[in-house]
Amino acid sequence: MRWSNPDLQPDQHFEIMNASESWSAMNTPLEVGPISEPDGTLYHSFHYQGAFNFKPNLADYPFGGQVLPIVIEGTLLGDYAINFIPDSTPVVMDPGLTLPGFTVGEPKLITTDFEYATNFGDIGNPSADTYSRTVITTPISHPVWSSAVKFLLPLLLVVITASLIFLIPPRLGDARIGLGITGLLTLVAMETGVSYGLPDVEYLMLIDVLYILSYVFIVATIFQAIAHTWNVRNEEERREIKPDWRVTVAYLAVYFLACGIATYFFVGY
Amino acid sequence: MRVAHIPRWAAILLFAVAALFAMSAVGSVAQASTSSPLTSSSPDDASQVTAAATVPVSPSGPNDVVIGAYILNIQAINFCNK
Repeated sequence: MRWSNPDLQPDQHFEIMNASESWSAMNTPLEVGPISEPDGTLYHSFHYQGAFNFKPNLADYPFGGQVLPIVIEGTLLGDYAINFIPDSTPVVMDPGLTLPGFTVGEPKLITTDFEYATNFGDIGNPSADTYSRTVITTPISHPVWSSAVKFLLPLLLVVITASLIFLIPPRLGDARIGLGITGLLTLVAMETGVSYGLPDVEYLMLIDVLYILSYVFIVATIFQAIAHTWNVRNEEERREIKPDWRVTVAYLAVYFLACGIATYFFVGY
Repeated sequence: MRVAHIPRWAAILLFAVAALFAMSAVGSVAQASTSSPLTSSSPDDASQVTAAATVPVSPSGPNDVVIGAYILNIQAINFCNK
């Protein structure tokens, strides 16, 4: 940073607003103190190393992209308030920078005034507090092809394999059902692996929708396989299985009723 | 020897999956070979960036602070802080 007013001390009065685990951050001045430039301005630079918070939008995960922000804000008001202005080339990225699994875009640096909706109880300053901010943003995106190979291809293979149920003769009911159930278990294991590295968000991500559709497909194939197996049974088998069917319906009714009662007593609605 | 009959739709489906897999593999290899973080990564381009940075902005107001940044590295992205 560079400034002309010797009474201003911006190198001591700025804050990283979205720092994460700030106890582990390292802010190393690259000079002992502000140095004088040929044009009379003062200059001080820092090497900041740390983690930064950001709220990802994962609606289109595993595709789409994110924007990584670094927010710097002046901490003083009044005569010593900082007014950030960007340099002629405000932000440059190291040409050797790579981030495995992502494509890194061109970073941007903007400066703006951020107004808090309060004066924080300072009666000497009746207006809302406004501080100058610098926001550095770096766009990153998931490479489409590698995301497709990593996430969609295994999903597709499981669904295709499950669809082979209908190539197995209906008299081999065990093999048909086994293929569908194996596909279902594989999907559950795959989804657990995918969701482990993601936050619990309140909206459906693209990968969730794809998994739900895959679940529906496999369950539908299992139902269809069972229905077809039912049709090829003889009359004696149908007669014998009717009591089982009635018991199944009764058990399901009791199960749902018990779940509803338990939920009502624990949650209250 | 009698060869098992595969329905036409199944053959087309399998062919489509195989083609998709091949395209995905080729695409991911191409992506890996061309995934450069910057469009200007040659030494000449880097020197142009340095040259552009030598035209400084002057702080005109008493509270003006000219700011710039150099992003040296992004270590990792963690979506859920686990």
